[in-house]
Amino acid sequence: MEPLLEIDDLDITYRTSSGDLQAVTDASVSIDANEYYGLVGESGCGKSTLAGAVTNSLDQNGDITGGTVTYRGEEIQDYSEKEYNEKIRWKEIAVIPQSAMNSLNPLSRISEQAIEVAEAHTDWSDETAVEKLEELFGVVGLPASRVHDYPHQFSGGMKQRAIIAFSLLLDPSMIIADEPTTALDVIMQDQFLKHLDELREIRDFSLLFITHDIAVVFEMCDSMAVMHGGQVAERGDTTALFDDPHHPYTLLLQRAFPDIRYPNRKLEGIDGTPPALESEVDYCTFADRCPWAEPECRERAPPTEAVPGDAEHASACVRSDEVAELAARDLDDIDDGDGEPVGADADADRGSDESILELRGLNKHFSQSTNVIDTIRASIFGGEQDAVRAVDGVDLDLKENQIQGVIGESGCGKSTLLQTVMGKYEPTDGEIVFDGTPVSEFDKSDWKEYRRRVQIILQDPFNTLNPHFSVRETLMEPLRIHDMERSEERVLDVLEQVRLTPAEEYIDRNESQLSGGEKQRVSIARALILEPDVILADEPVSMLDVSTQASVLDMLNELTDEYGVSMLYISHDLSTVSYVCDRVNVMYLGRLVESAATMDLLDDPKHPYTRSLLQAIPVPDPHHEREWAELPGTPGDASDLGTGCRFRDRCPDRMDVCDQMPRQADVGDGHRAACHLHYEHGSGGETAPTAATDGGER
Amino acid sequence: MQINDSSGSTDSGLLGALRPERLRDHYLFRNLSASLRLYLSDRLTVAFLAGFVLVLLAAVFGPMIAPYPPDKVFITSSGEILKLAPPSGQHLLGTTARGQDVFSRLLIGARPTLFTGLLGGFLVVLIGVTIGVSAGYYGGRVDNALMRLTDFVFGIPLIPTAIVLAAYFGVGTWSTILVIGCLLWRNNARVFRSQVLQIREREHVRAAQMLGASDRYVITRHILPNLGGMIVLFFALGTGLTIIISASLSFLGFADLALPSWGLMLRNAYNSGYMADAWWWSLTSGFAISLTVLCIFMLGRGYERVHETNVSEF
Repeated sequence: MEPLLEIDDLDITYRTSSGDLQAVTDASVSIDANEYYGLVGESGCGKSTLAGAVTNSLDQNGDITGGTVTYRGEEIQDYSEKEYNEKIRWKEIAVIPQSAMNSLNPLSRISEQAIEVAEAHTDWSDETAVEKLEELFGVVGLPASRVHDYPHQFSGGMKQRAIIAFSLLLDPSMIIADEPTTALDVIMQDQFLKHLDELREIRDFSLLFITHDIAVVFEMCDSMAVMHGGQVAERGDTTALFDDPHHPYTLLLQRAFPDIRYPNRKLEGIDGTPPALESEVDYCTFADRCPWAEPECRERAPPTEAVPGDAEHASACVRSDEVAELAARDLDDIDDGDGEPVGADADADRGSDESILELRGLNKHFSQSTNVIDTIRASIFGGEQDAVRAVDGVDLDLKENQIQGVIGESGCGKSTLLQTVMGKYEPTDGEIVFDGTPVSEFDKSDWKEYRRRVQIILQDPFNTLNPHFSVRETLMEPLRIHDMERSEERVLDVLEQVRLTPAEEYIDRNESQLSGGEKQRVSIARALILEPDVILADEPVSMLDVSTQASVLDMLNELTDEYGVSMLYISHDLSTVSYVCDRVNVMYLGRLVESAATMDLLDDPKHPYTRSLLQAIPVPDPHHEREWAELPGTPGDASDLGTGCRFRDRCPDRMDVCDQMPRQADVGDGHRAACHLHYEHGSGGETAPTAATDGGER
Repeated sequence: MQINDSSGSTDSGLLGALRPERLRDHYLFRNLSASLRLYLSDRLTVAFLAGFVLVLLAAVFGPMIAPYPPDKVFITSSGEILKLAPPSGQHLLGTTARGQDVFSRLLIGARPTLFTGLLGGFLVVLIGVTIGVSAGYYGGRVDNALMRLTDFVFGIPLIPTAIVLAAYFGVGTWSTILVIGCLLWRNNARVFRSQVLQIREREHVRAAQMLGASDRYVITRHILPNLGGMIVLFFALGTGLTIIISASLSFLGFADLALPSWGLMLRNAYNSGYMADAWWWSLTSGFAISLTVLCIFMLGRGYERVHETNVSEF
């Protein structure tokens, strides 16, 4: 059968002021009709550029300099914009953009936008377009009556479905989705994947799914290609690539990926960073990171050769036949749950009995009023306005030398929690106790000391360093602020600790000369240089490539042991949290709903929300049949909560009693859950003390 | 520890920073020299820089290189005043209705014009940055109060106010600059505030705050350097605007008649009634004003370009 889309030996070059850069080299990919195809690789590996060649949307300075793109037997790489629009766009190949949620025009109705698309590409009447959209709304499970709504009237999940419906509008044979789930948290991602997966039963189309997340590809796709440095390293059937990888990169990428089923597995980062673009690529781009590289790898680009016995499976590695042997010889066995624990369980008993940081009933509410008149009216006529309860009654006890995680969807209040602990916000109620002293009793010098002993690592490595500073100045800054001796040795020491070696080479670099992972290491070094007692980490690896993620996580783990610091680790990603944390707290709309030792939580989640969270995590194994998490809707608004359990509207186990606020109940071994399912209710409708105060506020 | 601290700070303090090799490594110097190279890589910018340097030279050396004293009245051989003589070898840009040399007056006019502009621009940016940064950085009530003040100042008409104040306090260069400086900052305070609102949320700023850095430290080391391009741009805009407005005020007659600025030349040309005939008189001064303002604007724009590239490529 002829493939639907065939990319053959494609070269793409960007012309820049500093010369030509080859972004894609000799890439060959072929996608059959009705096939879900995954394209995986780290940032900068050329996967979006490759898609750009198919959708005729390369940047102005990007050119196809060789090879062909064949769609249904016709070469389309030289199509002009006009020709492409007439023949291919929407009708044949539709695109789900990266920030899908924001790709609908907020100023016009969804039906109007559909009419616009139909007008541009077909001769349909307005009615036909609307009818078609109504039909597709039915397909993706949206009420057809809502086609005339404006995008803002849709929730996030509905918008996603609308986008999928939209891309199907002109019956394309192929949909290209470029990192559609990257900006979503795990529950939203799960819903999105579920819709896409269900569609293949109903409609005929091929999907090209571009992502850095190998787990999603293993789950969703029939075939896949792995890209590195603009070259296709390996391609073939998803299961074949999983079971029998013939390229070292595929193998190592798999091993770097956390698998929630095996939280004890050791994650292995891949050394080095994805290569910078060069003007000419005539070598294996992975050679510098490959543990088994030979001189030959650097002399010529390895040819892509089929794996014996599987015509679809091809690998571009000179040692492709030996990969399995080499891995067996040089790499440790990958742990499937039996071996020596190195991840979650390894440090289950870490942490002393001494509390270093304790939160007691911490509350942080934000007033919503934006103008003076409302504020005055509220103060005269009394009554609290509808405050946003970002953090609501959080109890947490961080022991010395312990890593605790706080996880939850975006908007659950975890970042506010962190900033309240850092003293950026004054708590509305409750107490933060640091090393035995309540923070509210701090005077100015205590605060300064607190700010030395409690350090923070922030999320965005690309924004965390002042672009005007060198590494030296960045690391000297904490010492300067705290009037400590600014010694060069101290800076070099701390650079070694975060494995930026040789430190002398890094100390004079500018922010622009560091990769994302290196930036985050510098920011960790900035936190460490003052030898703190507590480190607060706000999603420190969420913006890093997976190969770097593993090594940064490892380092955090080791540093905790070496220095005896404690850490509060905040993230939406349970698989990385479980990897570093000794204890995990699950947060939902400002409240902690469950708290347990990591393995307890993973083995036996009590709260329905935790169960859904666990279920929503993609598993990097094509053989594993994961069930979709049944969690409709979005967390909603933290200002209009009413009384009762905050999760009740989405809860699969909802009962009548859920209209009352559940209390935190101990379900054994320090495992606490705030759910009516898990404690005995006394007669007469017992309510938890917090429920009473909540009622009073309303 | 105490002793160590103090020795550490003297070493890397002012004296230490002034050692040449340290100075070369200092981040301000390093960024400055890199920026300058990038700045001069744009040919258009170099052209405007040349224009500006010309005006600057005129401002500094004008009185020395002017062929005649500005107030010298030329008399023809027949004993009449050399009125409105067209350009010639003797008088490069002709003479005025009073028989004064236009070229000399133009050279001498550069200094008061440029001086007024630069001082006004400085004042505008100084007030604008102070108010904008305070409002943006501190937020809340400070922000509210300062921004309402800005709104109020927006309601003050510039030229009428300048005229009224001139009527009360007399006409003078200083009062003109003061009025312009005290009103024009309204344009940039808002922009600075919104910039600071963004920069304030950057993680390196938050990191410094959470390290316990003082507000002064955060503002001088993290906010202002990242605001640099804007400051230069608005300084250029303020300088240009001040030159134009003070020229307008001179033209309207609210200027110190003893200071031969370009605006005053324009006014004299207009008042003489020969504006249309003596193009060498009216047009040259007008052109001088426009050219200077254009150069300053474009230099500011060029710097902004450098700053943007710097930050995005870093």
